[in-house]
Amino acid sequence: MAKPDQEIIRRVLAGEKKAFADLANRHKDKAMTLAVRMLKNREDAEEALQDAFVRAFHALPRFEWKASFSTWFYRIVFNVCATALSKKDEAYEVSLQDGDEGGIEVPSDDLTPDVEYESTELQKIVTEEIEKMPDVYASVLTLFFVQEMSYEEIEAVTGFPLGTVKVRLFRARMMLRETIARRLGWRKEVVA
Amino acid sequence: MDHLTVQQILEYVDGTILNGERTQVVAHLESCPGCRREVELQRALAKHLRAAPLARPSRRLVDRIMESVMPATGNPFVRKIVNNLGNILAMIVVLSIFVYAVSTPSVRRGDAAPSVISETFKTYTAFYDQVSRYLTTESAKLQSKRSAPASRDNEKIIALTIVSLLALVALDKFVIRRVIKTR
Repeated sequence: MAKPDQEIIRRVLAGEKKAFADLANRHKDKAMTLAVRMLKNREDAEEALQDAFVRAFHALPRFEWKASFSTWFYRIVFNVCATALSKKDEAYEVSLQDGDEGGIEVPSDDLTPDVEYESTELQKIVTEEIEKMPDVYASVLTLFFVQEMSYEEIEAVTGFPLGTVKVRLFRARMMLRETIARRLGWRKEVVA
Repeated sequence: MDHLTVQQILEYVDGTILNGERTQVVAHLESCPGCRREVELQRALAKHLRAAPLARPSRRLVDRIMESVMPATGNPFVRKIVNNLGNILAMIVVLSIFVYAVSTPSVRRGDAAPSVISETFKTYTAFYDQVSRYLTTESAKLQSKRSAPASRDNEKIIALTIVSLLALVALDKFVIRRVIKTR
């Protein structure tokens, strides 16, 4: 059975252009989330999103059926947002030592939470902190957790090498963890 | 005591850890409360990251996209006229009143039986008279020699005219334009 996205694409390509609205409605919220987290501004994000959807519509005849529509479409959204950032003279690439992978870090001198993990306060802080996060980290974090993409799919969307995707995702999670620990005043304690 | 690396903890939480390594991680977690806490924390963060509210675009976004990808067909001149139908109707009404009033001798002389149109025309002239008197009075700071208080009838007619114009604008904005959009 064909996926819903692919059914809609077939209808659009068969001449039922109005069906593209269904495709837009299916993806607009998640795509908007990615755009807002990259551009840090709702108006810019919405403009980028409109541009991305229009580009996707015109590129639809070249859509490769072996790929999922979401991977293909989010690549367009990502590129439009990256272009918008570069036009604002904001260096898209932040200073990163990508080779400095955090895989050998040990949680020895760690931060221990005193708060309830399930709390709504924690949810609120997580949401706020993602929005403040530099776009390269926010984008991979959003693709991984919101779009639920694999490392390989994120690689296809962002064009970052697989190793870079992993490192950035790792750093984004660590950054988020440290910021939240600071905000919640978790006490430092040596893990026994 | 050696602890798990953060990378191992994240892979364990994500379920991407290799099977062989997973056994070691599970064994370590059984004996290490510190690493267990870190696993719980990372699980909670992952859950909150997935549950974070989505940013919703404005309701008009999809309409704007569809307007971009499906440009309106037909004669652009005709569409322009249709889109401005409300304004055109309003202009026609005003011009008709003006032409009728100017071209009808009985209206000019003021001896015709008052009709809606002649009353409306009188309203316009009275209104403009009032405005002009007010401006003259205020700007020159002089006493008005000819300013007579407007009759109560005139006031009623002015109010009626303003209400009619507002109704016309509302008709254009909320009815005619919506009808055109839905088409």
